[in-house]
Amino acid sequence: MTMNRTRQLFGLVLLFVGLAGLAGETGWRDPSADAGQFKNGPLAYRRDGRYATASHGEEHIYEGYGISLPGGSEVVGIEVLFTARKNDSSNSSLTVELSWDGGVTWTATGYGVGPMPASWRDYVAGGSSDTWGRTWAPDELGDGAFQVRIRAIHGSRLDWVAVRVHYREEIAQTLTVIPPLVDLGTLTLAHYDAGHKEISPAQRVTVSSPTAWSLVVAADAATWTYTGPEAPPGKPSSHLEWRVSASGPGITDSQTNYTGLTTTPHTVARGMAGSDLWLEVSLRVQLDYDTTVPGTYELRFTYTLTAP
Amino acid sequence: MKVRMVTVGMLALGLLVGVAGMAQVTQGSTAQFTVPTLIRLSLSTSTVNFGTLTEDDYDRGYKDLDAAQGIQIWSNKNWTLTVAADAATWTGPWAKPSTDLMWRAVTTDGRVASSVNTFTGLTSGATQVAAGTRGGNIQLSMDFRVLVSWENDPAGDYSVGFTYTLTAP
Repeated sequence: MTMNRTRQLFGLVLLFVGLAGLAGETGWRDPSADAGQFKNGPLAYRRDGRYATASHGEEHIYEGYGISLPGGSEVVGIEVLFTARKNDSSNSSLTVELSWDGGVTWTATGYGVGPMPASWRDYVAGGSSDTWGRTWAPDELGDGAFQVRIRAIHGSRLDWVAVRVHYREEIAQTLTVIPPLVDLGTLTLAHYDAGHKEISPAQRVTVSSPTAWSLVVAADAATWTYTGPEAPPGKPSSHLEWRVSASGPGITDSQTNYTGLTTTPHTVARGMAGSDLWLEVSLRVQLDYDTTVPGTYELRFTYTLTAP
Repeated sequence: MKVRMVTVGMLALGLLVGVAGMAQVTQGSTAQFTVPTLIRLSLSTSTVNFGTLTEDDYDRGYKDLDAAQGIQIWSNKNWTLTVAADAATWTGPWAKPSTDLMWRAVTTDGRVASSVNTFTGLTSGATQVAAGTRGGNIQLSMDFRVLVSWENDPAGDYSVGFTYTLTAP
């Protein structure tokens, strides 16, 4: 009973660690170079009905997949897809191994696909959580390093030899606000007439978070700091109004109506796990003759990104 | 053995809290703007026309035009409004003094702290019409009176220019 409870606790820990990365995959990638014994090797670069031909025992290498993973990514699976069939009377098979150093060293998985009948079919070696017996660094999948070696057992035809890499992108929780200083400029009587001056958009906020998040904003003080010849008018922070005027994918619950800025945090938006999620904030300052006397005004405020 | 298992469980809990605890980052911003002294003066009409005077006007010694000119003021500082004749005399049949044009200010706007509400002769020196606190669309109304006499004012066309000046010191 005690052991079972301990295992449950570790299971929870692993779950939370796993959430710290965002899953991704490259999609099926075409090779762009090949070498070896197959006939018409380049015809297996893409699935187009034309094919390379392999005789029994022949070996061929495909490479140049142009795989590039985000920095800091963890490779969690590699798949090799063959669109293939047999080329003569015997059902054929293909074995496949991978190299990470330009063909000097190879995996030793013993993976293969087949037997392949006379009809074209897709065969996949590896999997979304199969790293072929080793830990891969992202640059080991780049051109010049990563290769796919195929050996034919009996005659085979290959229409396509594609590769798909599954990875987990490590995301640090970051928040950037550009520009941090919003200069609303010099006001005119036309702004008094309108009752406000607006900058739209005023700031672009970019969020990266490994988990769901919320963004709040609050004034650092209840009133604007005033510098000028008049008695400080005590212009309230709520005269700076903000709203989310645009946002990209992954943003939810954004506050799109103008809201006065107060020292109490107010939710700007929420979002899902992701990197470089963005939203634009418009700002406007409310003007009146009582609280907006000649001088210079400054108000500091703070965005806080929280991932509960 | 039992003690060891409990220790492992507590370590796991500690790691769980460390990873799953609330993560928070902040980013400061500043908004700023500058307000210069801003004033605006608007007149409902730039011409005050007394029309053609009559014998009754001569007998009375003057003709009044009430609310002949509306004045609107916008200022984000306390302000002062003055008026002055462009010349010491009217143009016309004779050198009629500008002081024969009299004015007074009428207002109920609470932002007007003081105003000249008795008829005052227009001079070429600036005379304060009103003063007030900051605000927008502050309203004044100007009454005018022209003095006439059988002895001094022969028939003819008379005109005198005058200028308001709004100041927010």
